[in-house]
Amino acid sequence: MGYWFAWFVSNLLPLITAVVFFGGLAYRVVRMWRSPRAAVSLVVPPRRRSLRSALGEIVTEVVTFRRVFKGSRALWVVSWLFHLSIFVFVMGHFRLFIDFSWLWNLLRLTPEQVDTLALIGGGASGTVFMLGLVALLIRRLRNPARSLSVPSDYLLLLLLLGIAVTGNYMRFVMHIDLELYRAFFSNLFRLRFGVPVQNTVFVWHFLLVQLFLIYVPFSKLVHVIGGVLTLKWTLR
Amino acid sequence: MTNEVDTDTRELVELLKDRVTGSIETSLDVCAHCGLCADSCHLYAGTGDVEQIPSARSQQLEKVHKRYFTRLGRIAPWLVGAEDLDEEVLDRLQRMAYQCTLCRRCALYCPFGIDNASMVSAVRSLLADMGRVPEPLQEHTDNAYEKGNTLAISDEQFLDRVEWFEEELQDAVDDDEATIPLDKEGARVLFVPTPIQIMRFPSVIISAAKILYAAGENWTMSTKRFDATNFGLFSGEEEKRDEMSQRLVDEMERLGAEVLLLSECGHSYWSMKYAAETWLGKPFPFEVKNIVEVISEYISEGRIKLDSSVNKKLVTYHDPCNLSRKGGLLDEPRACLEAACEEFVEMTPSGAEAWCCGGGGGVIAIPEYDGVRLEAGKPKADQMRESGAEMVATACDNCKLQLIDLAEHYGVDVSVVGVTDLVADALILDEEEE
Repeated sequence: MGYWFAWFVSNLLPLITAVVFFGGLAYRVVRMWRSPRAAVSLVVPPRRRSLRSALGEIVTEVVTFRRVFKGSRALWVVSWLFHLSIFVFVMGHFRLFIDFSWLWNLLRLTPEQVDTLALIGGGASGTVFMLGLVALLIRRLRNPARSLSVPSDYLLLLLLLGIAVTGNYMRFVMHIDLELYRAFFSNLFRLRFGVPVQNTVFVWHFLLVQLFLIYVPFSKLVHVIGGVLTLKWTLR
Repeated sequence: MTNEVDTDTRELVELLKDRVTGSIETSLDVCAHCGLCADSCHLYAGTGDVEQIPSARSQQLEKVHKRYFTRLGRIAPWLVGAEDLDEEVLDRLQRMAYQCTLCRRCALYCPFGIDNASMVSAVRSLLADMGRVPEPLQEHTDNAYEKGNTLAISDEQFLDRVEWFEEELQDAVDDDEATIPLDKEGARVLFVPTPIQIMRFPSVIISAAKILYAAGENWTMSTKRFDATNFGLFSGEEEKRDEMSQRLVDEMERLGAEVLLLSECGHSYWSMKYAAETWLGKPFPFEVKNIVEVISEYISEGRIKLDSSVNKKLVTYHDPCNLSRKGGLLDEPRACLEAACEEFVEMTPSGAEAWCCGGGGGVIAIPEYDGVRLEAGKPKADQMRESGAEMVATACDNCKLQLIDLAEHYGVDVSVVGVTDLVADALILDEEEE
């Protein structure tokens, strides 16, 4: 892998990613926000609900995936753990940007304990994420989901699988010196071009993550935002 | 790429553009192709045909919309599955849209609550714009639009039938003075039946008359409007749909009634109660009620008394989608049956999550779809059998016709009956001294 490739992925591409991701997402959010509800009420079954109870139901739905549970227990286990793992490792990645020393002090954790915690949380979520992707991919390859799938659905899963594999490789096989990465990201966030991290796996991981982020606003992943809106339409 | 599109298609594409906007567009964007809706749909559960998955219907609309109106769909149609709006796709859209019963069960199972029925309705309207409504359905709709009712019953025929209904009523209540009031101005309640009840299920009207008589209701029927149904809703022709609901509004106004009482019919209740005010853009100065709703009021107010020992057979209730899931009438029909029958048993699932029988949305009027319709009724047939009931009560013509067909097709030993009939049979009429 060439130096300039790594340089591009580490310095220039992030700018493009940020513009496309945030710009695209803002565009989608505004468009959806402005989307008028259907003229005739879509509430099923029709009943009066307070805003509070509707919001309560949306939160319950988002946290527990109740409707998925109702439809398929097996899919519920997979998709709930899958989405939980995303939440966990996204949180974990914040350690790459800053050290939450105040938090560790508050919790009275030694750096070694924090690392162990990260190993467990990161390792478990990374593994669950990867296995979840494989399960979702297999599900998509079989009917009825197969008949509903278009190439971009598979592409998205494969992209995420690439991210999972490179991420897990770094977590389980390589030794990662956090300081190096904190320095790199701190540079990046200050919009200073710098020397890319000398880690091919990381560069690939970072590249795939960015391709993913660039694709998000145009993909089915807008279900994360729009789903709340459509859900609300059927509740109140 | 769009330049290659010929003029005919371009017109279609323009129509498509107007149909896919607002909440429809958002819903199409949100659908993650997860397929959880598949098992919630009686059509897929009954046929196993992937074309019958709720999301497949919406996606077919999404695919053609993407092809012409999104960048990705124009640049890389293969990536997002964009498809040209050609003859084959139009045929598929027609099957998908008019075989779906618009029951909205899938909306309860979608993690995002996506209402696929909205998309199907949009497709129906699109096809109607192109003159592609299945012929028999178009015929019924045109009859209703031009002749005032779906079966083109003439005024004389109607009066003739009502005369007979009145005789039956007088016999049943043993009162020669009992009448079926016609065009009575100032009546509190205007009762509107359906053409199929006038011709094929007359007992519904006679039973309703009996109950209204027993309750001492100030009611009337109209000689002008005796069709509660709205086939414009089924065909997708919005102009006709609006006109059909406007007619009932006008008749309410003419007679000065306070309650529009709709007979055993699902979609007319949903239309008039939940949609027509929006379609017509004005609030109604009257209430819209279904017959089971009014009967349950009479029972709880003590206006009618019932003897449940008359109906000894084990009864279950089939929830018409338009009354239960879409109409919110969940307790009312059950209150009627509990009061009118000795033994009542539920099917599982029931209420808002009940299986659609597969006969709604206009599909029963299209003989070409009979095969699919019967297959799609399998979940309901299984439910009826498993309930162990000897009788299935319901409150909708389309459901009734379908349940009768299903019982025969699947060899389920049940009789199909209207809630109104069971209540009328259980009426106690000799307590005048009270």
